[in-house]
Amino acid sequence: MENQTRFDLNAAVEKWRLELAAQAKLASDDRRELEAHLRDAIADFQQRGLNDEECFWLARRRAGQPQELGEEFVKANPAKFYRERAFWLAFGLLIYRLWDMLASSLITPLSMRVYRPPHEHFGFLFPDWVSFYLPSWLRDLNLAPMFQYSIGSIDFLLVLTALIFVARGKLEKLRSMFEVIFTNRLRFVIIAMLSLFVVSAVSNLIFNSLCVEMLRGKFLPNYFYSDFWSAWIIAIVAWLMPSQNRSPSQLA
Amino acid sequence: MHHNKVLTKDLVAASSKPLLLSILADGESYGYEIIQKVRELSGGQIEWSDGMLYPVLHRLERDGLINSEWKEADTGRQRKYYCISSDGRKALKTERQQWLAVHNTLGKLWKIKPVSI
Repeated sequence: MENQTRFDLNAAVEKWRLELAAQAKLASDDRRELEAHLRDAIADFQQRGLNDEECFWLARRRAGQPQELGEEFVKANPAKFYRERAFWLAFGLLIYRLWDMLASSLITPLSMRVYRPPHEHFGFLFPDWVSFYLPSWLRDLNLAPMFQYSIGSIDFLLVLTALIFVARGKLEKLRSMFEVIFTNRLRFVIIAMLSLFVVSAVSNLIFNSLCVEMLRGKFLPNYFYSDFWSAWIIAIVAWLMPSQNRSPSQLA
Repeated sequence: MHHNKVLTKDLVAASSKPLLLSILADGESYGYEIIQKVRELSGGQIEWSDGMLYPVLHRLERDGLINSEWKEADTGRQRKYYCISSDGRKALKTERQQWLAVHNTLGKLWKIKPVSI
């Protein structure tokens, strides 16, 4: 059977792998096992003299539809499925926590510094002869809360980005971004603790430099408590981490 | 009566545990090899689908009857190998008695010697 374009076996397997990965019900270890199975089947058919394309389609047909596979696997072990979900939830919480530390070190001082009485009223944005003609409710409109809300939404940007990724079905892309740090538990804990220290140091630095003349050290957030909280999440994520995560194995 | 040479779904499900335990009692193996072996031994009458095998293996592992381990095969690729545990051997003994009990009972009722199927 001659094809116009050469059939790329590795690319086909990679595409199949992504299809499988779209099945949230399959844990990464299950997917890895199914992929090994597909490659075994392909190797077997190759030995029998079939060409790459025939091997792939036959092996794929034998393995079954990704969705059906997902159903079968969940039926066998529902706890594993929810454990993986809990894992990503906890990991998301950790990332949000780190981001929140950074963002709030910016938000709190900025929102306090920019609008200070009496500059916080709408009328103050204009020269007196303009604001004189404004109705009093508009002239006296307090802008501080509005400003705080808008600057406070920086905090929400990360959540929004993640939501857009998920809504557009790019969950796998998001996941693969982090796969490197999940190769083993020790590696994850070291990287997570380091990021925690870096983030906590940087956010303290930002906060202090923004507030130094304004607060004179009277008000300092309790970062020790925050770190403690994050350390607990790190421990939980490490505990929930699937035992086998890896990069795709190469076809021999 | 419609004669089907392939085993019914119920029987496939019921026999999967003793079959898997018996295969792994002979030595460690992996998914693809297990399916091939079952097909070969049964002369094609027992056809396991790939999607059905792994959930069964995982359940047996959770029950502590078999253990698994990722290992590098001679092809250089990683495979998950399964082997039987001591609990698994005990369970196999029980399974064996029960299946033979069914076999003997049916044999007596049908008044047959072991036949080639």
